[in-house]
Amino acid sequence: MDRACQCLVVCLIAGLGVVSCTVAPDLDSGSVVPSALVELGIADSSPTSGTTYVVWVVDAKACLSCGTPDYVLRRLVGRESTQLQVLHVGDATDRGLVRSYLRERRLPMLAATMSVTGARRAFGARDIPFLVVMRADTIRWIGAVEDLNLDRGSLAGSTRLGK
Amino acid sequence: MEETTDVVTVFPIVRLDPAGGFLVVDPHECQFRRYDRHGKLLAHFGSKGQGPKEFERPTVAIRLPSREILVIDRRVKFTILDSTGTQLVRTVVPPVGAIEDADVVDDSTVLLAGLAGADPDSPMLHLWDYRRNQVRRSFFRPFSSYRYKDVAATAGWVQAAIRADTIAATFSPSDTVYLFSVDGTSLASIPIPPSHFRKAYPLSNAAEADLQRRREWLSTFDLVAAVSWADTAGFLVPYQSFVNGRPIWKLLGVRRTGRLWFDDPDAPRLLTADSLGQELVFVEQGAEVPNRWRIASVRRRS
Repeated sequence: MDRACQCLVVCLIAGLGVVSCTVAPDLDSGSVVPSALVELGIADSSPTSGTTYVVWVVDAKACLSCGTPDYVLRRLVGRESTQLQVLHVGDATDRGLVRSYLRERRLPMLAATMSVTGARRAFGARDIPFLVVMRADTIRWIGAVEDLNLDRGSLAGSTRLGK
Repeated sequence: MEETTDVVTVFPIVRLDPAGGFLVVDPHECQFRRYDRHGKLLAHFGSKGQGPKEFERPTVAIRLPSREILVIDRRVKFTILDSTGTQLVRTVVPPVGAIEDADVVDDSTVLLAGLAGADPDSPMLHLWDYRRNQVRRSFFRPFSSYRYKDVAATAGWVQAAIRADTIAATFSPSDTVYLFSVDGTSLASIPIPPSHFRKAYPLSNAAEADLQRRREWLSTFDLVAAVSWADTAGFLVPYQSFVNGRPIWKLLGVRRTGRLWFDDPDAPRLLTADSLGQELVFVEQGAEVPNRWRIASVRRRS
């Protein structure tokens, strides 16, 4: 390990993986934005909204691992007409850990915490997605952060990602 | 420290630039930066990747005697930039990998600190002829003498600092400052005296499969983060513990005689110090993120 990746201590010793991030089978591009996300204020239900919401779903294990793709996520911060929202899924007692991680990695503050059961209900699926890109009232893209390509995806014109 | 839409300070690893100001790498941002002494951003270079102008995990940047800037990427390659830090001069595939620290020895030699290969018991300090890309000598095998191999294997990084003709080195789980001559001859081992530094103990079998117990175990010991020379008195040894995976920074001073000089468990993070130990750079006490620095000096008691 190196001293810049302290979480690696946990990652290597504990053999942790990042949160399960398979795509929900019944939630896909073109689906209507889940109402639970609108109620939490981390998505928009207006069909004419010009804001793109990027919701990163994270759990405590991800914050303790070395594999969190914060590099990509930071490049969403401050983009015009884009809001990066962080949704913590898990026990409320882990909220402090997640908030601390976000502050250290220069990511936006936590938008909300949901139980695993609540998240499954909100997304309408057993598997909770990892990253959801939404605009207006529609889901535009779902997947792993590493696979997000802003230029080919629904977010046009990256200033920081550049690839 | 100046930030822009392209430059955000996440985890700065800092060296004083002999030409003035600071040389910085940020491994989380996969980026090299050069600042003046007042925090004005003079240059930045790199993005995430393995290409010629990219970094995977940069660990340190130093100015070479040639005036060029060497940026070490722990996982991939060494990158040599021009004197301004804006233009790529060349990349080098080094003869040793996983390098975490570096310091200039002389006109042609750079001290590299890090594991050379897959064997954790291999030497961790290397005298590298940067003009010929050859390692002249490797030495310092702290792993073999460290009692708890699982701790050493996962948390065993090496740091080093040169002053005149002596190398001071640390191995993160070990509470010792090791001294070598610049040709690699062992000179002394200075144990850190009793202080707030907490030694590691092995992870129990029962805790291996339990996240909460692992988290608690990680918060029970400290790791030596680095070493700096301190004036003529001895060494500054920043060390860190982990609470919920986040580092808590501490700082102690140890004299060359082995006596404890001071121990401050509430110190801000020491970013770097000059080779004379007269100028220290800290993250400002209480700063939310490490983009506010404080330059300090060691005060002598009269």
